[in-house]
Amino acid sequence: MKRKKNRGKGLAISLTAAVVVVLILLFYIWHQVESIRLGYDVNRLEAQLQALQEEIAALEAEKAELLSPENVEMIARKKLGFTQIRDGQIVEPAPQGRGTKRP
Amino acid sequence: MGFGFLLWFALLTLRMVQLQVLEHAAHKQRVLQQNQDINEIPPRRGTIYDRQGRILAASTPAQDIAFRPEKNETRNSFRSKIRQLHSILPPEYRISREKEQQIWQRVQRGRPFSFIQRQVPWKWVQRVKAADIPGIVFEDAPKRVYPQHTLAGHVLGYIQLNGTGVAGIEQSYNDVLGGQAGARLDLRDAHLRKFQSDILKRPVPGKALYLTMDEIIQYIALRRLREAYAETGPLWATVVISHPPTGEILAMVNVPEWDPNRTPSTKMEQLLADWNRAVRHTYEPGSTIKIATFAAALRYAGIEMDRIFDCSDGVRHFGRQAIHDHKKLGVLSFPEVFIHSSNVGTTLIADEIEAEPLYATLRAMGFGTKTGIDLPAEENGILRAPEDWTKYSYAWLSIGYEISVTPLQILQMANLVANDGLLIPLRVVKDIPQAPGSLPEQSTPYKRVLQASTAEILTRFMIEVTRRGTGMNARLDGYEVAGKTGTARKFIHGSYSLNNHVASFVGFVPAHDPVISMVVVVDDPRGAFYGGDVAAPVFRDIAAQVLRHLRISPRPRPQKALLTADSRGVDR
Repeated sequence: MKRKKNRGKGLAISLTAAVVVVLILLFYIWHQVESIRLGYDVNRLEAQLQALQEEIAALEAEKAELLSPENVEMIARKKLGFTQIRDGQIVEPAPQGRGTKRP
Repeated sequence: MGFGFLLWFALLTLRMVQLQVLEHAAHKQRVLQQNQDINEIPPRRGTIYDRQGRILAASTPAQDIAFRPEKNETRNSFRSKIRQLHSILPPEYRISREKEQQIWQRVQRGRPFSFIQRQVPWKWVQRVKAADIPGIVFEDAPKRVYPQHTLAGHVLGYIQLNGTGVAGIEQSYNDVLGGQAGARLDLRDAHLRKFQSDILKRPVPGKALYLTMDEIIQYIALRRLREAYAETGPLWATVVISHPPTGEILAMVNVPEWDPNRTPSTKMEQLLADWNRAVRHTYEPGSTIKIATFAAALRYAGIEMDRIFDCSDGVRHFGRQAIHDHKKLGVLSFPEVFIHSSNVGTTLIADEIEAEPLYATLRAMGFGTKTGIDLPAEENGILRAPEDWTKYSYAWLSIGYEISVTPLQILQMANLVANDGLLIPLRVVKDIPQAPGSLPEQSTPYKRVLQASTAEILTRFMIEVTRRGTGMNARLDGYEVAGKTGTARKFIHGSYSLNNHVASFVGFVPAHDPVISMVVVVDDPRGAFYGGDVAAPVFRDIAAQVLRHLRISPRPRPQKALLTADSRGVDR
């Protein structure tokens, strides 16, 4: 009877130890998987940030192209009907006092 | 059953020992090879701005699209992936059948990586990434763009695929603009998806440059030069505009134009892209050189203003060759020889200047040597020393032959006069904000080449050129323009041609306290060919608009010359 009791106790301890080991291993595996999952997330967010920054750079270049003097003149002439100024169309304000004031 | 379980367990253990112990090194190597990548992080190349902060060149996001074959990749699977790629990318980024075949051949040879398309703009890369095509990978490859296209093509230059500057500012300031590459460790899973990146070395971005050029002035010059090019059909034409008191180049344009967004694909295109004629092309200048001749005459010959020279014949013989005036001008005073650009009169004046002083004046005014502008491939031009002259070389030199110059050297000569005889170096880069003090000091004292009195006399002569001489087409209402025309026959097939000329005009305005100086050179115009008829009107039209842009109001001529320490700038 006593031997049966001791054997049962030993089995319980072994089982408990095995469960603990398995739990630790499971935790380790979970930790690794979670690190990798978070790594994907960080990578994705960094990529989003980089994408936004680079979109800004691309838009700045596009803005520069749209605001180029050649493009502005083309729009002014073709869409807004502007023409080249002719002599006499610009009137300089008369000088006041000595010299000529410049804006 | 117990025996079976034990056998299974033993086999499992043996297998684990084989994998984890005996073959550990080999498997580890494979995993590392598959999972780890050390990649270069290209630095962002510095942006180039004009003087007002407008973008002339910038690096925009782009990536190279490449193929990394999976295990057991087949021809069909590869083709399917390429088709999927083509369904997303616009036509200009799709690859040809030949290229597809080349990549497949590389895969068959076991190459783990092959470029499909380089420098694909970010918006298309995003769409390809969203499609998540297996085996398609990406590498950062910023694309250099020039939003103004041909506006400043020759000044800016361009860059090669490896990011190195070629020609123009991109070349001469490559180290400043280039920055330093970084390094990154990428960890990938079994499907080659990146799940972790560690920066091993941060990239150092290139520094931004601010040029002295003004985008608007550049456009004004280019637009008018295009008109002249269309009207006169020359081989080429160039305009350079500077701010004399500082030597800052406000505009430098050439036609035919070059768009640096295009990578040259032929030798001819390469030549066109690299050939900034303002600094590289040399030519015999003709009468614009008389500014230097008269400077030498004033300094060394002591000729009085009321001295007269008989140019009645309109021709003068030197051995078997003859020097002609464009028309018979009669008897001219010393200033009138300059104003009416008499070749005969100029050679009579040159008779009274010794060879060495004439040569010394030409050298001092910058001929035969580079101006030192911060652009690559500048030419020296040719000015032979007196010991290499023939008996009559002095006469030809005095009227702008037997000497080879660049348009920039002619502008520098005019600036000498505009700056009261001081040589102020020309430059195109104004500032590098992230590297203060890295540009050469722009400080006084500048080198004195001409006496102030000589410069004043030459200025008065040049004013008269536009008032009543050969440069009347450069006159501007409300402004005093100082200038000189040039018309030189071209030396073709061993002799000077009667039908081929280089027409030019150089000047500055307002004549007293000048804000801009400008040289216009038109090579081989069809029809009219005199500098006064071809180049002077271009000067006038550009100057009128530039002065308006700079808000320089027309003003009356001052009653007496005033010296002022204050020089007007070009920034508002």
